[in-house]
Amino acid sequence: MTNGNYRRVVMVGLVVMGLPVLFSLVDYARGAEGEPFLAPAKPDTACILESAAMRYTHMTFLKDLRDRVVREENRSAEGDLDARGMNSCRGCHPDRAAFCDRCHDRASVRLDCFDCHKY
Amino acid sequence: MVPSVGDETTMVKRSPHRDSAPAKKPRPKRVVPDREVVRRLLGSGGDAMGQCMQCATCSAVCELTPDDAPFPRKEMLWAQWGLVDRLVSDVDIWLCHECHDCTVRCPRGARPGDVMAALRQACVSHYSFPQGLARAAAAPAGLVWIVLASAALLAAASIGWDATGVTVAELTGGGTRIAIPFWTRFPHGLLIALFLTVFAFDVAVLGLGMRRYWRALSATALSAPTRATPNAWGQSLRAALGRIVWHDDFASCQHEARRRFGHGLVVYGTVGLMVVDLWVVTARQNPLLSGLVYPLGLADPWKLLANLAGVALVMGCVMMGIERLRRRERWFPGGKWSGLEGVRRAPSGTYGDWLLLGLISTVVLTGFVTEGLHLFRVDELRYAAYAAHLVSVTTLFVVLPYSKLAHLAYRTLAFLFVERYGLRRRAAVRAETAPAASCAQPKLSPQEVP
Amino acid sequence: MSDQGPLTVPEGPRGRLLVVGGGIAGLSAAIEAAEAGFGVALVEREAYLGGRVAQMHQYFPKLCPPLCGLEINLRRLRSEGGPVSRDPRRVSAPWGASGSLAYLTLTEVQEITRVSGGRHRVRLRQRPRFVTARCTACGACTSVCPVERPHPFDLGLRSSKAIALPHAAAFPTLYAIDRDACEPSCTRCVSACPQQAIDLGMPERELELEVAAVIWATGWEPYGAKALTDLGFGAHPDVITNLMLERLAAPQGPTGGRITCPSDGRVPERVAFVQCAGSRDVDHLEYCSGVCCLASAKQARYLRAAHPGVDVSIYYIDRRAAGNQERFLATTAEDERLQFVPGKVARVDVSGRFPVLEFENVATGRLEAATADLVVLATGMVPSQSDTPAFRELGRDAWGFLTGLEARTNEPSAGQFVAGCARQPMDVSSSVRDATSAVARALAWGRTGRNAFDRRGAP
Repeated sequence: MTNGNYRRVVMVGLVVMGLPVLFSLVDYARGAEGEPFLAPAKPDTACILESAAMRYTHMTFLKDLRDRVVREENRSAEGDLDARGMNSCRGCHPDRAAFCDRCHDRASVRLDCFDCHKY
Repeated sequence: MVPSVGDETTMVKRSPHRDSAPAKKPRPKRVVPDREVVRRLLGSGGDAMGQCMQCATCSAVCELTPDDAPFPRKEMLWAQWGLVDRLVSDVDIWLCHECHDCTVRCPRGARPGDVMAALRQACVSHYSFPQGLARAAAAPAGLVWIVLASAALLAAASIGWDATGVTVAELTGGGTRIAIPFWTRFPHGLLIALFLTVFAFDVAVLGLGMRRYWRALSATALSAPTRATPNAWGQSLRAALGRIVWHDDFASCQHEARRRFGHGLVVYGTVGLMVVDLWVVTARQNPLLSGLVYPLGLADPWKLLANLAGVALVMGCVMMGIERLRRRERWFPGGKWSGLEGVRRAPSGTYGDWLLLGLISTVVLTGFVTEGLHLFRVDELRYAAYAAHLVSVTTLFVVLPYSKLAHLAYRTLAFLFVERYGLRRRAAVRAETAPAASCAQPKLSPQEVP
Repeated sequence: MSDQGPLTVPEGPRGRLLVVGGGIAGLSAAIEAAEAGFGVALVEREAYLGGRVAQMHQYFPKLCPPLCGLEINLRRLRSEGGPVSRDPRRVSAPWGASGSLAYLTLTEVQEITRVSGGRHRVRLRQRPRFVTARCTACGACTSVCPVERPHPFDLGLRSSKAIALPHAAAFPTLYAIDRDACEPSCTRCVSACPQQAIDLGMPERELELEVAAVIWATGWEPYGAKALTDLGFGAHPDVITNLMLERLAAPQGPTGGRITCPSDGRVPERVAFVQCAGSRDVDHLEYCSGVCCLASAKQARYLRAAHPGVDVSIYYIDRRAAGNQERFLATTAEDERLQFVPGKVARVDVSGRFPVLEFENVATGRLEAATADLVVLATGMVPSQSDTPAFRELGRDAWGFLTGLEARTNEPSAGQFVAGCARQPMDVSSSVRDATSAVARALAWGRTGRNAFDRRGAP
């Protein structure tokens, strides 16, 4: 590789590194929606957790529920578990595409709930 | 800095008639060989340095060495003698880019390239603190302890974080029982805080080492009468960074020519990852960002850049590793050296060389494995891979100021030093660069003039 | 062929001795052995006796021509004990009362087998010279010969005809034909020879001989400078070897003794000697030949004497001189237009018109480049090679030099002694002394049938 070519390759590399910043700036300038993924819940419904905590823990939250019910047969601990099970998700968020998929797609996280369950 | 054999290496004999001596001659400085340093150099790649017979072939074939104080011949002598003061105030060890042109051509198989690498390691160890950690980073046995310590550090941080109960309290504020997911044991905030701390430690160690090194350089190299007016800081820094950005010095190497590309991949891969890291670390404070920050989707420009940089890093490491392993075939084609002799003549890198490549590769590869396991939801393994990734990152940060990786600080400093003081310029003595120099034109006898 | 007599080697009172190699060591050994009572067969591969010494211009430290010393030995060989036949095939020759000596040129030892009593049966093979002993060296053949070839004796610095005297002072003074160079079916020399001395049908001949002991004095060859690619040999005509300089300086040499640049024949003004050209180098010769420093000093001195305007630089790693030869180096260094520069020449750049030497001057600690008109590579000595079974079976040290003195009595190579540069690199006077000591060993062997060094062995 000649010296000139090497420099050209380095330049290309440096430009590539700048591209994400550029994209972010463009996004910002376009005023792209920050958190567009979740469709709001139905009106007059109570949140199980505040949305930040839910976003952070919903996966283990659901699994924990599952484990307690399926493995420990413990349906009594927290009262109306049924209302908090996955069945109840769609009570407040009826559209799976707007509630689950959009966000998971965006974050490239494979959703395996619906391999077994129906929403 | 006259690097000849006879100047200061003369031992002083106490004269019985000292008092009667009429005039005080400047006493030659007594040379104190440091055998411990010699022993350490012998053990870290310089095992063949005793073969050196000071023929200076190495200096003459080196494409990077300056004309006025060529290396590595003088360094070979100092290393043999264990002249630690000179070695650790020598700027030239960092101008060497370990291309091994000298090793290939050394008529004694003394491997000056490896000796220079050992000297650089010794220089880093010499200026860093604490010395115990520096020793540990220089030997395989120490690595085990550093890895264990890194894991313990992470565990302690996690347990400590747990004990504060902040996460649990925050999440269970509504009185709801929530299983704490793995990543809340290592929430990003905690990791960022932890790594910033370790990073600050690195900066402190390297910074102090650089300060000491700079002082040593100023005390020795600048005492020469040739000291010129220093160039402006900005100009010097620009010149030094230019050499780094374009990898100009690598271009001169003959026997490790492809290393310029491999090293470039590693450097720019690292820079790319650092840019992404900076973005992610500052995400919460970034006005351009809101809402979902991570996990980043595969199509996200930042994720793309991170993956691209990671691939470049691994590629660069593999390239450099392969070059290193295939030295014998590349340096001595035709099976000229075989068996143990060949291994001695063209060794495939020291512990320090492989520690660097190995650690960087481990960091990136465990990162990729974690990413893949996440994507494919292999829940049984992904946290283990993630833990391994975190431990390797911590290990890398811990050994950074003591290992070969410290060259990013020391070599930059050496570049800055020589650029600031206009030292170590490569004048055009080589015939191909100076065909018309006056000394290169012999007189023609009259009958020979065409 | 009626004029080809029987190949006989006389038996002396101490028995018979085979000396392999007709250079200064072999010649000395053969003569000393004959004087001590051996009947000696002296075998030489080339067409003339004298070996490498015949190629030299001057010896150090006396700076006298070696042909003089060689001539003394040849006279001892020729005249002291009576006339030696000039016929290279009829080798029987009386040698005084104490013994006799016969020499065979163009001959190699093929095989040596131990027979009873520590004796050896040797099989010699003589290649044809194609010129008989009737040759008077008149030169008529050379003037009609159509073939020019690089002259081997002058290391290709000039060409000579396919039929020629091997060199100007060759002994025996007989022409020889290089049949490999001949045009097929050319017989011009045969008809031109007034003595009918040319016999193109001369066969190869073999001779079997029983001898008490063998002395190998097969000598040395200059290290192949072609392998020194960094030093420009072969890429620039003005980069030559030290042996080539000897030929350039020799009065009978290609330039008549005028030292000039081979490229264009001009008188050089800057001459550079590159010491350790390939020596002490794990990629070439790992050892020091021990004589090149003095040889270069000697050459520098006769160069300076021949051309007072010439500047000489000698680039070296260490200046090495054994024993009292140190003084020779010191005297050499007194010449102010002759400088010793510490620093091995790493590369000779031959891309320009003049070769440029690149090196670090260790005295000043600077990289330098020096232009020279003539670059002399002081190449080292490697042991001569041969692919005959007898030679291959000999013991060797790590560098390929022959061992033998140390051989135990019951080892195959016992009773075969080594002298001169075949044993290790050395200068001419050491070679002569080494030859004498080998003769002493051979005498002891001839008497006792056991190696004097071997206290345990029994015949």
